[in-house]
Amino acid sequence: MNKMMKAGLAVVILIVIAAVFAPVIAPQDYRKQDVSNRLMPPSKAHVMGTDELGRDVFSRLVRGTRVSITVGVLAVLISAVIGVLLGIIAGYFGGVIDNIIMRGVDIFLTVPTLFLILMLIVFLGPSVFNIVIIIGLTSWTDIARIVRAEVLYIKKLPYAEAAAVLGFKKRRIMFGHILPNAFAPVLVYITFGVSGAILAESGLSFLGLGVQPPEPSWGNILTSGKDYIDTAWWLVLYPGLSIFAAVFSFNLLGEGLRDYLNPKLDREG
Amino acid sequence: MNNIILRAEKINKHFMAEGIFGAARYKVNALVDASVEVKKGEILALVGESGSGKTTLARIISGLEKQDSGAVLLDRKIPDYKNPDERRKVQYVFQDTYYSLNPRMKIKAVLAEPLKVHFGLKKEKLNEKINKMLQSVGLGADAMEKYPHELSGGQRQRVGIARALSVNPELLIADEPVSSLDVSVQAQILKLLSDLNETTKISIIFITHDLRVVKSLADTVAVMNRGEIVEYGVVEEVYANPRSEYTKTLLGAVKG
Amino acid sequence: MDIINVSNLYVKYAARKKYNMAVNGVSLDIKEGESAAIAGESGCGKSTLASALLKLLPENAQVSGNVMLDGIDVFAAGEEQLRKIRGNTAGMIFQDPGASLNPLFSVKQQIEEAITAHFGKTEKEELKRKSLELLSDAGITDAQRVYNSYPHQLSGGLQQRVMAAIALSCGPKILIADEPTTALDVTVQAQIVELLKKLKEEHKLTLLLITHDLHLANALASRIIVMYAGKIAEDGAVKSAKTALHPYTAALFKIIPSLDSPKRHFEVIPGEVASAEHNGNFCAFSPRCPYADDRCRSEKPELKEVKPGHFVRCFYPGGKK
Repeated sequence: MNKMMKAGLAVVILIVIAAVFAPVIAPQDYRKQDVSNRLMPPSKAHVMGTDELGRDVFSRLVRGTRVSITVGVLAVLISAVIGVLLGIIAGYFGGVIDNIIMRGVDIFLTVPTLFLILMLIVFLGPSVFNIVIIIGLTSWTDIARIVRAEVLYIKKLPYAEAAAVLGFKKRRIMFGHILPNAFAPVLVYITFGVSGAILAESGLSFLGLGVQPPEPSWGNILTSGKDYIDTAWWLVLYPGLSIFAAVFSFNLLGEGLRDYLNPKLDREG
Repeated sequence: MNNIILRAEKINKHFMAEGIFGAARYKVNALVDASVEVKKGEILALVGESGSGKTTLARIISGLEKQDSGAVLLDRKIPDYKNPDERRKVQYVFQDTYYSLNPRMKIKAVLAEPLKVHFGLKKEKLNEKINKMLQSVGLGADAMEKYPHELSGGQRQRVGIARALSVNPELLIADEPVSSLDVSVQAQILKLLSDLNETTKISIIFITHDLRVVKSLADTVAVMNRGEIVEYGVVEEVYANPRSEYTKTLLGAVKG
Repeated sequence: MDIINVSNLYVKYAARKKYNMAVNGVSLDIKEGESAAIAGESGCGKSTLASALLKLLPENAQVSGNVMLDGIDVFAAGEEQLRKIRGNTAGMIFQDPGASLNPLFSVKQQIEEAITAHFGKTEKEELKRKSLELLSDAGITDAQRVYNSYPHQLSGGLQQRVMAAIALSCGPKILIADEPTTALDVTVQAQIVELLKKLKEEHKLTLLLITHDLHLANALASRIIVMYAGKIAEDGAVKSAKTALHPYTAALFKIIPSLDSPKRHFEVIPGEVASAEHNGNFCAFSPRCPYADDRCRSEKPELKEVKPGHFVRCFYPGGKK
């Protein structure tokens, strides 16, 4: 593990802890309004200040972590399951099946994802559940392509051919021999995918199409803050920093994993 | 008399080679009317240089590839390789020892899998059998808990041989099994194959480019060049009295 | 005069959390005009030694000791001087000619680049004349066609001939050939051996062959340096198992089957190749040696001159007790 990866992992762990223990960590109820103390700058009582309704920004950010992480992880899991399944089927069986799946992927890639997501949200209505499903259903194509490429390579390796000659069932070969060895790049992609999904969720919430107030998310805190950007900098700075830190650390982790799981480095080491 | 285990009859196979950007596709004949047979307990060597078609022929016999025309007969009938009991009769040992074993499986799991799948062995019986198999290829029980990358190339090839033998095949195809190994280990593996052939009477198709190895190991030899079998016969006769120019050239290159 | 002089060379590679020893104390002199082969199995350090001669080691290598090439201290040399050493002093050909040639450039471009890199700007006509001469010198009969080809249009044997032509383009005194025939077909191997012999004579080269094949070593070199576990085990004019003084060398000759070896009889060296890590107080080959006794297992043999010019690292040279 290199230093950057360790740093990324540390921040990711912090973020996950914040998400899991949000109610314990947050000093105040994220919904409690206190209009007499609105737009207060950071102080001892409110380390990150208060918003336009006098709510504690730190408590709302911690609560927002939960939303971001949930959306990020769940959406990527959905896309990973779809992508891995389609990728392994396309790669292993090849021929017509491969052609159908991969042309499907091609068609998917011609549609601008953001436009598709926006359209679906407008159609289905904004909610955390819908966001997870929609991001998940629209971001599997890369994983499918990565897995297919890996499978195409691995199925020609002697151990996969040996499994075929030994008379093992196709399912055993695909999921017992090929998939475990194709998983390293998927894991790397999943890590990058989480940061992508977090970014997508923040963007949607910022546009008002994601998590709806009063439920806080990093994106929608940023939205409400933008009206006060010249008087209350803390309303923009902290959620912005949170998004940056989360995305950056997941990317560092992904970069690190890519080196760490590289079998070539392993073989020489 | 009729103890022929395998007969390959007039096997033909071609590949399409592709020029740059898919232009100028042309046909390459990988195999032209290749016929060989292997008797019980016999070692047949397929010899040739790269591109001779020796590996393609072996892969077709083992079912890893399909021929364009011609027939492979196992015990005088076309084998149904989808049937596990016929599938196990022909096994394959690969050249690349590193990738011949699943890098994420311990040796114990590598050897246990075929035994479970084919014979439903469990627990003590399974362990006992794995131990026996390791012993038969000259490995200790301590290899069981290791991953492939923790073993040397020679040890991995021994595991590969043990795995192939675990399902009691009648024919073992060894595709350049020593080419990637150190010279001192090559001799060990050749001796192992020779000993296994003598004790268990298993038939072997041995693929190599080394005519010296053929001489000391094989009973019959098929010399291949550009997809054709240019010479075929009992090793001693072929070496003493080579008929094709190509065989003469090959023999000339290793003399001295 | 010694043209290659290696003294006390140690090379280790940094790996995760540890070092892997590759060359474990090698001293070696090679005279001008000599043809020597460094032989051994994988991990014995022969390739690392060859790379160290031209300072071609990867970044994670740590080196101590000294290498002098034609009077130049290789490890102390700057970039400019190294460029001169690689080419003017010593040319190198490798195992895989396909990978050593750049697939994107024609033979013409690659050989002319090598010439201009060392002789500076040259007239177009002169460049072509020189290139064609080098190519036909390397035994290429249709030099004109090869000159205009790209590497992938050539067979392995032709590629290796092109490599030889490039290696000799700057008139080096030394030719280092690292497993020059291993990747080639049997029939082509013999041709390349003949070519190397011819080039050595015509250019009065010092030839240093790196190989695992003692028969090849014999065909090309009059002196064989056998390495085991990062050290020299034997160094001398060894021709066969009978003239070998180290049991390892003798065994290496015996285990390669020949056309007249007995049927179904395989000489075997038991066990696995020892790693160059070995630093214990015993002979590195003793676990595999048929002659090993208590002394071999409790004392470290040194490289000793047993006959004039014949060195061996063994308490019982020739296996006699």
